[in-house]
Amino acid sequence: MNAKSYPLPTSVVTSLLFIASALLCWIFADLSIVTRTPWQEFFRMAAGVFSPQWLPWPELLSALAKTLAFGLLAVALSALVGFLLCLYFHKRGVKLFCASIRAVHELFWGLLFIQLLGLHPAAGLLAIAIPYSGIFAKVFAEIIEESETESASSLPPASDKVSQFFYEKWPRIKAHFASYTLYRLECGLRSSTVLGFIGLPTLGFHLESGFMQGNYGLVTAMLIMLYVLIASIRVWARFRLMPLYAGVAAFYLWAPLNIDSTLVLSLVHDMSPLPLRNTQTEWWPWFSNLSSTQIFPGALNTLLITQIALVLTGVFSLISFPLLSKQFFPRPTRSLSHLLMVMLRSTPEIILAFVFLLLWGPSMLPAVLALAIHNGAITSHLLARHSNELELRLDASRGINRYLYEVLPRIYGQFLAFLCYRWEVIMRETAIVGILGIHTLGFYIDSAFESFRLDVAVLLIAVSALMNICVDEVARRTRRRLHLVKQPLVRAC
Amino acid sequence: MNNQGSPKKLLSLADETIAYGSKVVLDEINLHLHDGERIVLLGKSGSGKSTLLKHLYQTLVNNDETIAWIPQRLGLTEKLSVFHNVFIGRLDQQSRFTNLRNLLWPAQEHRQAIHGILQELSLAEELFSPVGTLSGGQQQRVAAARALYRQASILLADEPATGLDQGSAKTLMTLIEKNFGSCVIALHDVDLAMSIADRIIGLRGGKIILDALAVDLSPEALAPIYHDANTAP
Repeated sequence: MNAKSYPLPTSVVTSLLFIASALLCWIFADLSIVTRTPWQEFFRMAAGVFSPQWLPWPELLSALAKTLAFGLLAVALSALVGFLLCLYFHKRGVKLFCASIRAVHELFWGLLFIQLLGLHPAAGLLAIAIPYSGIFAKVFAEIIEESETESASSLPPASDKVSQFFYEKWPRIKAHFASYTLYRLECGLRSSTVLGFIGLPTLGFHLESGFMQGNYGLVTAMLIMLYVLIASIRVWARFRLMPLYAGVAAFYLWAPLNIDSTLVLSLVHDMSPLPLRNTQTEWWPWFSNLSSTQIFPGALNTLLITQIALVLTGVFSLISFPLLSKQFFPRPTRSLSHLLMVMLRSTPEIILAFVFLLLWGPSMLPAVLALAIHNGAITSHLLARHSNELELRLDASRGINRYLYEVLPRIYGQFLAFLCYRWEVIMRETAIVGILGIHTLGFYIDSAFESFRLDVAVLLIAVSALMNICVDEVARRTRRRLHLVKQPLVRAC
Repeated sequence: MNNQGSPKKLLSLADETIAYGSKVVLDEINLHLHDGERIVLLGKSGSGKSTLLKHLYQTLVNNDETIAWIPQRLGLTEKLSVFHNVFIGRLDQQSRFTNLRNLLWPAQEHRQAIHGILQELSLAEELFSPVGTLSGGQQQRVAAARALYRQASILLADEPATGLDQGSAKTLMTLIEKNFGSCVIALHDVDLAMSIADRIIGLRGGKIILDALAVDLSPEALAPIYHDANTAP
């Protein structure tokens, strides 16, 4: 008999490492159910779902229009800025700059700009447009990189750079840019909704008050509007029309901006670390106190939630994608599951987290589940699409055997690549659950803003940006180790 | 020979026509298969061999026969090891638990069984290599190993000797002869065909133009399969 032992494939080893890290985090994480009567709240929610409560028309239309306008204008602006940035993405400084601005969640940018500008539309716009610019730059740069391998230059070698770009690269990548920009619209609408939770007059504003008052009918109505808005994108969204839409949105949102320069200056002053402003405060005690009470616990909780949510995202998508795949189920089942999945991934995590929080109380459980379900629904959809493209043999097995031996091995690399991309996204999104009171870095940042300790807020934002950049780097290395260097075709937000 | 007396009839096709849209790929096929027959399908590419094989596969499976199948496009799971790809041959004959367990960690008994088959095909060294890293000829032998491992009595194979050198092709034919009671194999190599077949079916343009016992056939009798009778090709 051969003495050969079975070498575990790299992808399996990687998965085991992921699972082990999540289990380790599980030990330290608080995943308890705190509320005594979760069912009571559940029935109230269910009652709300069946009796949506609509706002008066003017208010409803205004919330809809503002959600749309913020999303559209911010995406258009950031696509433009991202395009310009991507041309210089090979420069290390630009790359790092893009990584830092996208590492800070739009909620934090929002909190920052609301401090500086008040509840002016510009605050909301910048909050979305800044991180999105960083994301656009990265994705556009990747699209260009992928297209470059396709053919060698056929233009006269002395042509200037601008002509080279528009005559050679642009025609090849335009379609990809356009489809990604339109795709990003969906994310933009969700972000603009989420910013309502910190005061912007979008759908999220009413969602938050609905949750706060336990008015689940209002929540349901607002959610339905968001679904309709997102579903309508494919009807009206055209790349060519984006400048027109952005113009109309800008006109609609425009409001005179009176910047009180003394106020801004004093705020900027407040953002510099306390020991710098106040000679009575020593550097080390200030920093060590902050570290032990906020930075360290915040970072640790962020990491715990991220790792557990990441693995649960994977588990959720591996279990659910067969429901969407033609390798396993007939059309009626697939259509029904598809509808459910679209709803799950269109629902902003903050809503899911809020619902779970009300059901189970403030532990990490709501955060982890909200992140896992939202992201899992996205990954599941991508996996199903990928599996639909497989051509199996006439004698391919069925059911669980087909899943294990035919489909899973063929899509597993892609699956890990998707997960690596979700890693950074999930960590960014822990910010959201922070403002709901779960003690991630987002929570401490939110509290620092509330108590006007802007220097602490800025420091914590920097820490969370640093963590994001680290996770991004680890994910990149993991992908390289698994030879999954290429970006998956669909880039989800 | 075990088709003396009155062997069981496996399948009968009467005036069967298969068309994709307006394109007729199999034209009024009449064919009877009996248990114990070793049939080789000969014909140029595009003559309908693959379509006929697929049709035979479907019909036999509908009749609840267990079939070993080697398609032209092998359809192996490239990320999985040779062991797993061969193991797939018997997934439907084992419990889900066994299948799941062996996906994660191959059990000793299955390793031995599959190692034995691979030895006969000179592939034992590659037991745990991912199939995607093997050469075309090696992959062809993996597909054959899967068919052998399946332990079916009937084999349907579409060009199973593609990419194999003469020696390996001969070995494969011997293994097929030894392991399967009946088989239908599409081949393009006439010598190889004559070495295994006891019945030859010639296809041309979707029609059966020859159906005879191999012993009765001379090389000239096979010519119409490949060349036009009167005009130069």
